[in-house]
Amino acid sequence: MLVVSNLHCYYGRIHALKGISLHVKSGEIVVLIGGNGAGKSTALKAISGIVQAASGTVTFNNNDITHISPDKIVMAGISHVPEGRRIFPRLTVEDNLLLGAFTRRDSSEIKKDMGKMKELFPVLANRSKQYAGTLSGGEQQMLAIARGLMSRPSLLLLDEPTMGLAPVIAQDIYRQVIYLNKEQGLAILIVEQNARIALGLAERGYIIETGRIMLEGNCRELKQSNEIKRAYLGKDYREVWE
Amino acid sequence: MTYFDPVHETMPREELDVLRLERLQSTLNRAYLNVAHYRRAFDDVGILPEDIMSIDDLQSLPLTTREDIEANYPYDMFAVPLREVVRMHRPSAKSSKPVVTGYTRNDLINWARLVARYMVASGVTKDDVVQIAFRYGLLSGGLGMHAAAELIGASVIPTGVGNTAEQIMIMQDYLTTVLACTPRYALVLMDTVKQMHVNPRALRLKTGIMGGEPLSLELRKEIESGLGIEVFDNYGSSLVMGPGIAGECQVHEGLHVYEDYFIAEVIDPKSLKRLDPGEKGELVITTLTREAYPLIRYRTGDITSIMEDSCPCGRTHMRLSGFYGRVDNSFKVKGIMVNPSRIEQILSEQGVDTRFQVRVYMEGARELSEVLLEVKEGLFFDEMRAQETFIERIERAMYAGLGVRMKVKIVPGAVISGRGVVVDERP
Repeated sequence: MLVVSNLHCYYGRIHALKGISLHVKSGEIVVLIGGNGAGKSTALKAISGIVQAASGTVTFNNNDITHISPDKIVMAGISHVPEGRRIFPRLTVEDNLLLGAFTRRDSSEIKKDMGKMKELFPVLANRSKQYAGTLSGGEQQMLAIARGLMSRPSLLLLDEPTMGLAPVIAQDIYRQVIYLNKEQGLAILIVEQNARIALGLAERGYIIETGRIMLEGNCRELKQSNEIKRAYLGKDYREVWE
Repeated sequence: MTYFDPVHETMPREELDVLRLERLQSTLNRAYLNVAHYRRAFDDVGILPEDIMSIDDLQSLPLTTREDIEANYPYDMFAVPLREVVRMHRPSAKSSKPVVTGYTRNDLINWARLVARYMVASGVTKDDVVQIAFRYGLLSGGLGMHAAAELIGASVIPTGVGNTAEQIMIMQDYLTTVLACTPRYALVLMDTVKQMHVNPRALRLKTGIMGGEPLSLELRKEIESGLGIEVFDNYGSSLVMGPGIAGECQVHEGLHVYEDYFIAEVIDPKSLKRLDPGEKGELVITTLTREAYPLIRYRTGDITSIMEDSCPCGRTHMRLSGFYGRVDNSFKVKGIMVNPSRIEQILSEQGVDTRFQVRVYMEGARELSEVLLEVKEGLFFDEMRAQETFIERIERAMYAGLGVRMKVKIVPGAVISGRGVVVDERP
């Protein structure tokens, strides 16, 4: 469904992505693992059109979306839940959700979907008139995901959805993510620093290091790999065999 | 049709190529970062891993030769630290210099799965009793087959090579249904079956999973009718991984290369240019998932050709038409690879610089080989004793250097003229 090939991106002067290729099939959860500055977030931003690709292609359902504006990409069915939540604190929970549907014109369906989101994340139902800024971190993350779902995507891009959250809450969030995938067939590409969580969640994964994909495989295999330990530990794990 | 891994074995071509490119790129990234030889080789031609943007671009990368591997012996071709390596094998030496290959845990898991693809394609199930008469030990044949047969859940009998009479007793008593061995060892078994007056039809054998040396049509027919089995061929290379790089399916028209794990090219061994499907040349392999020992455009020395048309079995992976010997005239005796240039080297170490010829032949079911040396000054002995001592010395050196016993004879030049360095008289 999503095929990224030979993608190069610059972040200012930094060559952030050096020709990465990856794919996500429909209904699949795929994880992109790497340390700080490896290029994970840039990869998501390049897919959703927030960052311009210097070269390479992104195709989605066989359409080239490499140089298409972010709103058109949302309409094509890709929704990006950015790192650090990025909800609008001065708007109510409900208004935040409505903003997620900014590309849609079918108001009665939007209303229905709002209801669905509140079922999916019951805490949001209780707080629908509250300012989003007053929510806890976990609740804000749920709101960010719900807002992402309001555009009715077929592919969800999640950037570090559990960063800074307590483990119990992180588990809660991932339970919903798995539900969305299993019950609704949503394809999900997750970026994670926490390799242990991510590998338990997804079927397939990629290890990214300084803008290059170092390893591809199913998660059972990746768990055993040295590169993973390196990325997981977040430092140079290379040693020699004297 | 049954497959061990239906998703990957029958993957639509377009999807398969996406996966292959991703795996190729990550392999190149790892090799470039972790193996000094590849970094140098890429830098020499001014190519970075990210310059390879399609499978076709692979052609711009340098080939990896046996000499490269030998020069980096033992561990400099490894792409992971030794503590990540859980197994090592040593392919048979093609020169005085040894080589070694290593496997991470994932490499071993993948290896077993690949051989299992071939076994399932050969009809092996968990109800089978699989007798593995490949060499165990430093060579990869025995353990490679073993792990896959266990993975499928078959009952595995690890007999190894040799003790042929006992093997046949086991075959009868344990109700062996699948025989795994080299084609030549199958001939030895057939012969022993005859000598022991065992009726091959009374055995439960139904399938032969074979590899390790070229399987000609005649050889296949002989084994199939002699043991009453269906033979499935597979291709392996000890350095690349072991058995399970390519394997036949029930259609018996070529061997499917497991293309999600390997890229196979066929090149002209002289011009080094890539050849078209159907043209015979040297097989070049690039690994796509190997962690401990990635190989990029490795020249296997084996001669084959590519078949690109689709196979009725439903597998989307391209096939190799079969194997037709070695680029360097190497041959196998008793499962051990012998290279004529190695023989030349041993002779020169012993101070012998005469023309020679290697003859491989059968005596009953026994494979024998001899080195014929052209008689000339300095190789002429008045005394019988002196000649015997000389021959003994050369034979000992051959055994030490090749790992296989070869008789040595001194003959007139006319005997060896015009027949090439290697004369293989085996069927």
